Amino acid sequence: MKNYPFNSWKVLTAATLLFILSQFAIADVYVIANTGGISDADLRDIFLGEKQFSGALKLIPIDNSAAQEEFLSKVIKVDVTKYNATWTKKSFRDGATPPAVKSNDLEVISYVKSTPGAVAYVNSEPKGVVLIKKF
Amino acid sequence: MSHSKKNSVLAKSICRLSFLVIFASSAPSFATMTNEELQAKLEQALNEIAQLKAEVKAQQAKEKPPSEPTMSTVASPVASPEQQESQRISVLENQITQLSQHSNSAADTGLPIHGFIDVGLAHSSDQQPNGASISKLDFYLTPSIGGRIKSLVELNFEVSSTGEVGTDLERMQLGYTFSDELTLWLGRFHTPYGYWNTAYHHGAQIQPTILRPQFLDFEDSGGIIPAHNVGLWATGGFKTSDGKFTYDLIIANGPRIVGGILDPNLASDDNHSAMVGANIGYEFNHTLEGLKIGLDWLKGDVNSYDYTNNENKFFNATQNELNMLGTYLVYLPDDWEFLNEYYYFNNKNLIGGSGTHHSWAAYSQLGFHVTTVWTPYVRWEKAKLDQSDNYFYTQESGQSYDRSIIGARYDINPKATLKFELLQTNYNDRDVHDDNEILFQYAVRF
Repeated sequence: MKNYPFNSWKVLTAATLLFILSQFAIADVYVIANTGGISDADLRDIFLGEKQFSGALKLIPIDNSAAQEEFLSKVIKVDVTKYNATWTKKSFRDGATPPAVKSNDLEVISYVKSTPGAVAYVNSEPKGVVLIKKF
Repeated sequence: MSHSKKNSVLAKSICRLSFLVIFASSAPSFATMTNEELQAKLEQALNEIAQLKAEVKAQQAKEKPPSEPTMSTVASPVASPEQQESQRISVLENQITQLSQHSNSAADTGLPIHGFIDVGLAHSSDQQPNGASISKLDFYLTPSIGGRIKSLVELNFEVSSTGEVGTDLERMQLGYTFSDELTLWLGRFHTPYGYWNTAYHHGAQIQPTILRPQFLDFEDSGGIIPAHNVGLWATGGFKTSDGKFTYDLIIANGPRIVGGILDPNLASDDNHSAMVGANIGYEFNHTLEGLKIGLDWLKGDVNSYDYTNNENKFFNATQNELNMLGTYLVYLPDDWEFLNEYYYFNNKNLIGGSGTHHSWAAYSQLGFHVTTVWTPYVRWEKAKLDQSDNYFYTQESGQSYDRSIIGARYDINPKATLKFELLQTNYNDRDVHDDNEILFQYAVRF
């Protein structure tokens, strides 16, 4: 019988542990904007539709479905269900439009780069946009 | 790397690039594709780019050790195949970005329709309708018109107690947001008094109970205060360190009373006397998040009309001044629902010399989320309305009453809810039978 350098059970156990740990790994969230002047203390209000302007600039919050769960949990402190329910009520009551949803970091960064007032979040370290805060 | 192997990698890369160029350059034809199809193709292209980048990087790393950059590469007027490939990838990235933006703009041009549906069962001890019923189909739209321009339309199809389907443009308002502190609306809106009237509107699924408090019900469902108005509405708020001041100011046509029912004067004012109102509130943050308190006021002349023998004509029977002062306290933390509103009326009869009349109405409701899906609740409500006040006397539902409700709400999911209620209503000063009811409602939103 051929001798392998590692015991196959150990390898399997390590791989399983790594897999389980990877499920609990929480990615970093980078909140970005087209221009500066936005405080991280305003992010909750911006994404819940309570703050619509920064000076004379109309703010355009953008959701990123690839990073939404981490963002809502770390920054807004609500879960996706409550966030969606809040926007349903806000839209029905105030005629407010919920943030548009992009599907990945590349789309989000591209939109934020080209849209004055855009505020969004990504999982990968962004370039060419203003970083408001890393969470 | 051998020459033939290098060529093979490059050939493979170029094949993939060709596919991507064809894909990207055919962007205009994607106008006919759905967003899901566009998204799938976009993701496929992004994966291809990532693979290509990795391959190019690996190839460059093998050929040129980072510590020894060759001047010939930098200075060469003719780009190497690797540089050409990198440039192509950059061009492709730009095209993919444009495709993404095209997809987004296509989504922006669509107008999502949202709404509410509710159906139910009822059993009553009095002559009220019994059995199954379809109740309402309520659509609302918030067309996105431009940066500061807002719009809201709510169209309601409602089945009356006689089984007819009525259509009502419940809200139609166009607004302009000047700042976070001021939005100005013009059109038909829900009168901003108290909390309930501007919180739940006609959305049965988001309303915590099956029925609104009776005195706060809509005009054509027995309400005695104008729930809708047509006019100008200024609204906004000011943040403080602990919360937010909110305000609403209105000037509107005000209603009239026709055949015992409040009519919101959609087309024009009937008495050239505007209705004015204000609502000032404070929303707490931090430890008291979910608590809102406020004061409101509504004043205006409301004429009552009665039918002549000819049913197509009616005459001005009374002229009344509605003067209402209200207060509210609402506490909605994660586990509780505690809602309270109180209204005091100091109405004047402008003809007939009966003077000033005092009345009041109030409700208090308490609910508790025992689990994430179950919420039992109770509500008590009472209206003590002076029957010598023509404003109430000429309204079909202007009688004094008290009502107790016990019920439970079960959220099947965030968009579908079942509610079950037991109601006991006592009418105090008119010849109306007291009533016990059992109600069931199945409500969804979409």
